[in-house]
Amino acid sequence: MADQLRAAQDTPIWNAIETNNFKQALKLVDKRLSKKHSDYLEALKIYIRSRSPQVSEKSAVLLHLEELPERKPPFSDIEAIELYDEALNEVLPESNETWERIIGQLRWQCVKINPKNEDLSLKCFQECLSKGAHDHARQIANSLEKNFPKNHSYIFWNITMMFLFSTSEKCPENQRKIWGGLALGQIGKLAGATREAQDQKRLPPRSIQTPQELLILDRITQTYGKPDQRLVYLQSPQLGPESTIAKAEWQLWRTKLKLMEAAQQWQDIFDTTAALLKRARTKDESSQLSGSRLSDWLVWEAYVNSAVELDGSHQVQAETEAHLDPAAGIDKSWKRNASLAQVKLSFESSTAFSSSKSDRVAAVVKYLQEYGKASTAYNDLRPFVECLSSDQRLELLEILKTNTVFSYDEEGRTRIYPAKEDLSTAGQITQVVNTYKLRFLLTCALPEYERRQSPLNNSTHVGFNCASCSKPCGLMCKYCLEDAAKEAIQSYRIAMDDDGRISNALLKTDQHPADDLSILAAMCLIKLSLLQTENNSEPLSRTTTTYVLQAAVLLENAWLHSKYNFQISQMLIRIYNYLGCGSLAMRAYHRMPVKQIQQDTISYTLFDRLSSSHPHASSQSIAASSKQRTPVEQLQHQQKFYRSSRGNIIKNLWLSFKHGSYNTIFEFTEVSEKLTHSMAAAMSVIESRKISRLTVPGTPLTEISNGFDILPPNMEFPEAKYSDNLDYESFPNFEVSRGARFEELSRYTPRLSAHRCRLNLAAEKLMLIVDPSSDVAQEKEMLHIWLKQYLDSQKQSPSEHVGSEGMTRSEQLAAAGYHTMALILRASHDQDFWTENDLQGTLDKYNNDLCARLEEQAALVETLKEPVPAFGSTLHVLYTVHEFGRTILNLCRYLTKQRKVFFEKQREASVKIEELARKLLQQVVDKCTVVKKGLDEGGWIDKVLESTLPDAQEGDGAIVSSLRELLDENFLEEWAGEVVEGWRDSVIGFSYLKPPPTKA
Amino acid sequence: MTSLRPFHATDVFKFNPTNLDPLTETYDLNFYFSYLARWPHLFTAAEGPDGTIDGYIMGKLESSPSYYVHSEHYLPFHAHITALTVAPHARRLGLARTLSSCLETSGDEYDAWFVDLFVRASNKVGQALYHGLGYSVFRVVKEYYSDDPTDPTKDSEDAWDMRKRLKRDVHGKHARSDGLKYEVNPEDVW
Repeated sequence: MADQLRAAQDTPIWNAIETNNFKQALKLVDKRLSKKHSDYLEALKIYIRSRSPQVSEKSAVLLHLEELPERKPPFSDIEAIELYDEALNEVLPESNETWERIIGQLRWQCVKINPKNEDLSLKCFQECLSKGAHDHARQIANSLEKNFPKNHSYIFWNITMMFLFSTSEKCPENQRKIWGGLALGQIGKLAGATREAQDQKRLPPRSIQTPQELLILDRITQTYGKPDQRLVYLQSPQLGPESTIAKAEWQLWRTKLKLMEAAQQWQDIFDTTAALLKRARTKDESSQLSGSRLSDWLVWEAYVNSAVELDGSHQVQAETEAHLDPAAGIDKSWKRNASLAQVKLSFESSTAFSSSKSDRVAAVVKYLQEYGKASTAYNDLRPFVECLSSDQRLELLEILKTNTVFSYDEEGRTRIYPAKEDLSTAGQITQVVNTYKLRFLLTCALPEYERRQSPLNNSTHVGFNCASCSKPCGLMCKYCLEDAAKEAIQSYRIAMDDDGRISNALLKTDQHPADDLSILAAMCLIKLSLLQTENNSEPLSRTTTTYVLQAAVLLENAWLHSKYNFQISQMLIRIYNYLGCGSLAMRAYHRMPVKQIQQDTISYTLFDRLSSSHPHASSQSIAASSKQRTPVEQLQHQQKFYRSSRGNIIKNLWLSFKHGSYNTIFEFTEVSEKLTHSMAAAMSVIESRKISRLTVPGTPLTEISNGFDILPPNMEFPEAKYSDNLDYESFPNFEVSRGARFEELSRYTPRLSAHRCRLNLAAEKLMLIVDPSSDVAQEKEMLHIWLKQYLDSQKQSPSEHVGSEGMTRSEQLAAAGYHTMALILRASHDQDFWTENDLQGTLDKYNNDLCARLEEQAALVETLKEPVPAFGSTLHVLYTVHEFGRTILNLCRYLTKQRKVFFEKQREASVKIEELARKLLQQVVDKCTVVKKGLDEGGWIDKVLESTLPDAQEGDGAIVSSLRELLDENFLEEWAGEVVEGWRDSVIGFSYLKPPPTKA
Repeated sequence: MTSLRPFHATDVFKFNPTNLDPLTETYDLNFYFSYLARWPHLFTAAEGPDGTIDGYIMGKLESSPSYYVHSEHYLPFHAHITALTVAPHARRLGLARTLSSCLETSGDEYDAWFVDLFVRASNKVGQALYHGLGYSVFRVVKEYYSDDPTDPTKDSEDAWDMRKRLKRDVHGKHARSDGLKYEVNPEDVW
């Protein structure tokens, strides 16, 4: 009733607010206030003032709000607080810290005054949670527990909040142990109550009752408890994985087994896992194998490990046989574990199968025979094959080469691969693919890995003899890689020559089973390309280019038959970026269905350094219309994901509390942290700003625009943490499991790094200081304060501004130049600096450094002797150097406007710097002209074809002839045309690289 | 190797081996997280030797709202398969069966009557898979989907509501073998 009355009375006021007639609204409120004072009306007044567009009014409101938490008595009217909440959002949106200090505190005070008002408490709890005000949420949860003691959930809300607060960044160091210890103590008591309860089906409210509560018990104990306490809980019949309340929560088994292994409780592990495996193959009363998941690989692994320690191999052997017995009726996915356990046993036990060298090889071959028709066989066997001795490797290699693995005829007749009849079904193709991957592992990947690890691998000694072919080699063996590539291409050709038998049976969305042969061959070609170092000849006459083009055409051909194989697309993106065909890289990228969270994990494959490879919209059409966005639009679309994900996570934090999913809360918090500090988010901001600055010059890029809002403040400072959420795992990889992945081995440019993000973000702010746009003028004072703090932080971590992690040479030079520019800018603004004894000497040093960087950049451009067609590395240098030159010109212009006392000392140097910067820009423009003119000439398609399939030379003709046999001539020509168009398309971006402006 | 584990929220950063496949839709975080918030025990991942996600299943446990109890379409407490996906590299290993069995076991653990799922009428591969796992058609939901990928001229497609009895349904009253005869409208499906 009271609410209705208030609503009726408020109607004219809200009508005035809605029409932005704030003066009238305030008048109406004052009129009502004169009759009767209320907190609500006072709050409404502040809210109306907060809607005012005047900055002074907003500042006054903020000052008023800042005083509210000190008010005595505190507010008890939640509607008044909600109005203050909205007012704060008007004057300072998205400021969680201020919200926590003001509104969070008001909400908590309100709950304290109305502790029995459950709805109010819940509402305030939810709000505090959503704003990350963990301490206030903790206090409210505590109040809920105290005031509603029969509510089981609130007990856990309180514990969860204490623990969450104790692990949050905001928790003062001295309070972490207090709240963590309290959470541990309280949940320990609840665990005790569960253990002591007589009837596990009727537990008291203050006890642990659900799987999620058990998981949070484990999580808290892991963080704050004694190391062995976790296992004590998990081994208890009332709190362990077999307890009534665990409801078969599998995570508890996983944790228990891992902890038991860590504690080396071998006999217990052996007994426990033996019992689990027996249960897994025992049918229940309805003749079902309801416990089949107990034969998880984790259980087998623990079983074999304990058996090895206890010499119980024979029992393991018997158990594997029982699982593999067809009469047991076990699903094939679980049977696979028993087979793999046999392999593991043969490798790890000194007694099993007498474990002779041949037995290990035999175990690998047996597994391959049984599971070779699944792609996973290679991944399953890889860690074991890596452990084979040299002799065993040769033995296995011989078997794989002669193809006795899959010859099932009892007489043991051997067949020679590749043979057409062996590739007649998808399963047989997969068998062959697995064989080739293992051969690659044995002849290329494993020896390479060992050479990398060798003490002989140092700068003075790079010569080895290949363990596989005995020829001299470096870290990689050219002969073995060529051999592997050639054979994979040949086998791929045979597999595809099936008159449509396999292809026609596949769904449109299926991947072709032979794809991995093509991928394997392309991997070898890419590695071969990395072996070559020649840079001074024409790009298309380099051997490196030949290998890269061969890899590209091979993968494009494979894509024709398998349009949804994302690994083909990932490799093509990398290759086309290397070749400088940005539009083709984009095309490959858009063949993948990248959306939502994948914009954080996968977008780096295309977007990192997009500003220095293909900043412009492509002239070539890309299939789907929704994807025809310009690069900037694509980056902005990515940034939208980060903005929306915050709300999604917050919403579900609350839902987790409501549904008692306490463990999940911590997982969400981790995701939130990872996205907040995402390296890909920083990359997106950097690239979109660079591209905007280039493609729409003159557009003011204020600090808050173009994406900075998706990053936490000060991400350029050395102490800023970055989260690397980039997905390198889905890139194809057949390398050694314990060594570098192929993604890493095949990088043509350094990867995205936190170091590069920091430097680039700092450079962005420096560019704002010298930005001639008047729109950013009012930000400049703030930016100078930032600059001082930034340089001070650099002093504290001097190693941070040097180093080259994740940077190309031109980026390193630019970063060094920007750092010097920062020092000059500080000198220009900081008056204390002007009183230094040797200001001129210091300035001279800075200026000399900057000149040196400009000259080094010029030298770098000069090294681009043969820039046609412009490969990725050439484009990158041109764009990076041009941006540096433009920025330095802006710096010079900015310095002329500084105080005379400073500028007099700088004038002479500025003239020289400006001259160098102009020269540099002109040099870039001249180089661009050379590239453009070069590409205007004809004959490029022929040149691409000649480079891809050169006339056979000594030793390397086999790959070329294999490719000729595989590829259709029309396809080849069309593809070569696309590559040339890709280069021509890249040149369009040069129109943004303007010559230096005419001197005023 | 086959190893199951709970799907963790951070797995969204590494589920590309399954989700870059065109048959697996990638939704916004709210979709995955709302399931993790409510039914974390029904969201399971299968992982490979190096931790790669080979597949996952998302499910829920629920019944129709109480106000619906007298409707002939009322659904008692049951498990529902929302998504089941296996990465291309991990197919033909029986992982789909393993993952769905895992959800069925959870359904039994929480005393559900049956497990159900929707599959497109045109998705013969999916239907064959579920038939093989012991599911049968319970009813056909007419024009449930707003498109038909097999025929661009159509703007809708039927769904098969398939079910498998759980232990609680001793008398088999929540499954039937002639479900193709029973047609309902989308508004009847809660």
